[in-house]
Amino acid sequence: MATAAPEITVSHIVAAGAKEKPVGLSEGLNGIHQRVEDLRKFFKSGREGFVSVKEGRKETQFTAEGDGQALRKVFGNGEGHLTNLRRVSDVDTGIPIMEYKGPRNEVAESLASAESITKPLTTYLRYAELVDQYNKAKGTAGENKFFAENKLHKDQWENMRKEALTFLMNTGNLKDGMPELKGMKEEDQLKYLEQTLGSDPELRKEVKRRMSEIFERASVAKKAEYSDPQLETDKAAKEKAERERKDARGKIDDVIGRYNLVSTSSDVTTMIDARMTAANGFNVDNTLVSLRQELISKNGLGPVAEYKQVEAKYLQAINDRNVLQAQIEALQNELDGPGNLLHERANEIKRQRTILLGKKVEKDGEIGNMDAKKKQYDDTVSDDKLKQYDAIMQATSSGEDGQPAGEIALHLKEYAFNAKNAHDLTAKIDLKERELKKSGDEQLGIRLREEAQWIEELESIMPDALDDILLERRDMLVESQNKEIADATTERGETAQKLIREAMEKRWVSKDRDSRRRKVNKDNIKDDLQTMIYSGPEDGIRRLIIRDLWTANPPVLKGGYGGYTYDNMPLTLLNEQDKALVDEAVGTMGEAYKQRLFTDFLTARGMTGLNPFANRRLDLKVFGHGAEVIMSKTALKSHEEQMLEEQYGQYLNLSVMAEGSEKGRKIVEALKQQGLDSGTDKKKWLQAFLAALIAVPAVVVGTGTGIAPALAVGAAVGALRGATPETV
Amino acid sequence: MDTTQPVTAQLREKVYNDLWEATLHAMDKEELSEEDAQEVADFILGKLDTVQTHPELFSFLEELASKWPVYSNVFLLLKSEEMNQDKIHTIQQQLQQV
Repeated sequence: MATAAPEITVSHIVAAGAKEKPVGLSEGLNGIHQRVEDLRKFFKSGREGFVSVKEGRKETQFTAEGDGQALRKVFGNGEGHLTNLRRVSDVDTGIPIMEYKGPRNEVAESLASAESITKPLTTYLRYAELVDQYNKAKGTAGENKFFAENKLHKDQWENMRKEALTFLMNTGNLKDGMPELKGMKEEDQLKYLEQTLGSDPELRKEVKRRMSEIFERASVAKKAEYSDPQLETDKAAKEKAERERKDARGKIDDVIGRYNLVSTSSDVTTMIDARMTAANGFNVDNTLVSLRQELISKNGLGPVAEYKQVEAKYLQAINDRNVLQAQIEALQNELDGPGNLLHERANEIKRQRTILLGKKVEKDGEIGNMDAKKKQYDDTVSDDKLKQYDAIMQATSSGEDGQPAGEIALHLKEYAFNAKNAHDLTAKIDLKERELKKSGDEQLGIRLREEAQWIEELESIMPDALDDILLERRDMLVESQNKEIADATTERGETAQKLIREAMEKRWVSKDRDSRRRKVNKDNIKDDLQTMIYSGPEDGIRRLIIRDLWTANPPVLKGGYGGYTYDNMPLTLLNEQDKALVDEAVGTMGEAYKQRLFTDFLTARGMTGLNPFANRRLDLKVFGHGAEVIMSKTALKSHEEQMLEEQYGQYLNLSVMAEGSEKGRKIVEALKQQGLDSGTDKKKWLQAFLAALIAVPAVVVGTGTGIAPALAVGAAVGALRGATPETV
Repeated sequence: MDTTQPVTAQLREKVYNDLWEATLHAMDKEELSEEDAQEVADFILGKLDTVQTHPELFSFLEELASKWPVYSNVFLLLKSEEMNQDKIHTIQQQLQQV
């Protein structure tokens, strides 16, 4: 069986390129399975999940303008009106100079943090939605129509463009990973980014999808509640009771007015409010007495009251005398009756009659005195006064003496009922509010922690979208490369190929089948690149393959030498059988192996967590499938990078023709038209990151020499240099 | 089965979670479209919160399964769990009488 080097032919590219539409990440991830995965991840509670599905929000419905704004409002407890009084004091004196109601501090902080990330994301999204449309209309009669339709002025558009592209440029390691960007003028940087990432529909779709996901989840998340329906009912009932209490007091005023009783509303109000308290048990009778006294006093009816007392005593005395008289007459009748009384009984009657007569004389005296006393009031107690007094007495009658209750008494009872009700409700409301504040504050803490998590997720959207795009495109390249492996000739050779395939799948960028999560092992990539560098193009690949084939112990060498490792063993001492196996493995899979290593290297170095100049983020798992990045060692040294380029430049600079991709060609042409056709002298492969992003897999081409490109970057790189892409 | 036995909050939550898992599974297997899922969600949310007793709950589940067969398993599983509970209860009662 022939052991021809693997090759990716132009037909692959043409076939892929013919699609001429982005076929990378979004289509791969955005199907129903992605949706299910997102739903499963975000909604642990079935009910919340159903609420979300019922709402039916999808990323396709998410709009930068409307939902972007709405997304901001999700923060700060979803505009939960959590306000407090804030004071601005004079710096020197500490005296408050201004007071206003504003969001609570922690809520305000969450709002501000959210604003700082939702604004650029929304701006980017809005810009990305319009950029193609604008570029088509630019310089034509349609330009004004574009602005009119999108309700934009040119200045606004320019500002939006600048903000969006600057945000993009400052994302993750983009700027650090491409030193040549730093060397450009600002406007050139923007143009470059606009033609590449800024207008990349896949990036836009990914960002939109992720924003939509957060919005969907955040929209149905529980807010901190400081109120409940019962509290509102109680508050309404309390207000009603307060109102009716005041009404009752007003009615008492009306009665006082109706009877021309001299008093004032405030007097009555003060008195009633002072006496009808919880401490006094809202006692109506005591208050009635006080109110009666007040009215009598204010109306100058003191003498009438005295007169009435005298009169009452007078009448009582007359009544007493009449009773005595009746008793005397009864005794006399018995004495004068027809029957014969016993002597003792007759004496007893006489004795009692004498006593009663004495009392009657005494009572007559009292009556005479009282009559005289009553007359003393003739000048001061007029009929009107008497009527007024009677009216007060009647109106303030409690009704407990068998008489109908007076109007004031009735209103006062109504007042008492409502005052007690309002008091009880106040206590209930206070207690409930204290409880709600406690539970609300607790819920708010949970909510704000959740909001902080959403903010972190929002901050990760752009770098993660870039990382995912790189990984997806890497997968597509790898899929193309896998098709071109020659068969092994022996059973041992087949086993060797299997082991090498396993190593290629697991060692650098691997993917868990179940979780679809990728693991990017930068340490392994660096180790293997160093082996490739320091052992050279011939031996480097051999050493790595030996390592993968003899996974446990190195092969036994001629002469029985041992104690070596794969990276220091003398390859000349391999025995013939092992050497043949290694030769066949390198022959059938060596190129594929190198392609994969360099593909994974270029992918990994472009990822946010892997940038050799900005080792900032280690774990990219936030959205989508995410990737775990293993990175404990420092990046390649600059001289190692140089050696890498010298020895393996063809895998780094990539032999790709611009015309291999319609999209790539258009981008290059557009950049040229904007004067961006000359690059810098920076290492070409440093541009691989950005080029990899702009060159969809459709531009992957073979050179016909059996060396396949690792990533399709030549188009952009070469064109930037104003030349056909080089092979180093 | 005790027809007056109320549906507890825990049971309601369990049913929600079981139905949710069945929904995701069916969507993943493409046996249920997202549009269908929306209709299902509307149906479930409209009914499950209002059922009060076990017979009402199983009547709801039966209706759900008849409308969307992907929920048959949830219905049958919960029914079987319910019956097992009844059996256990009966045995416990018998044991107490011994």
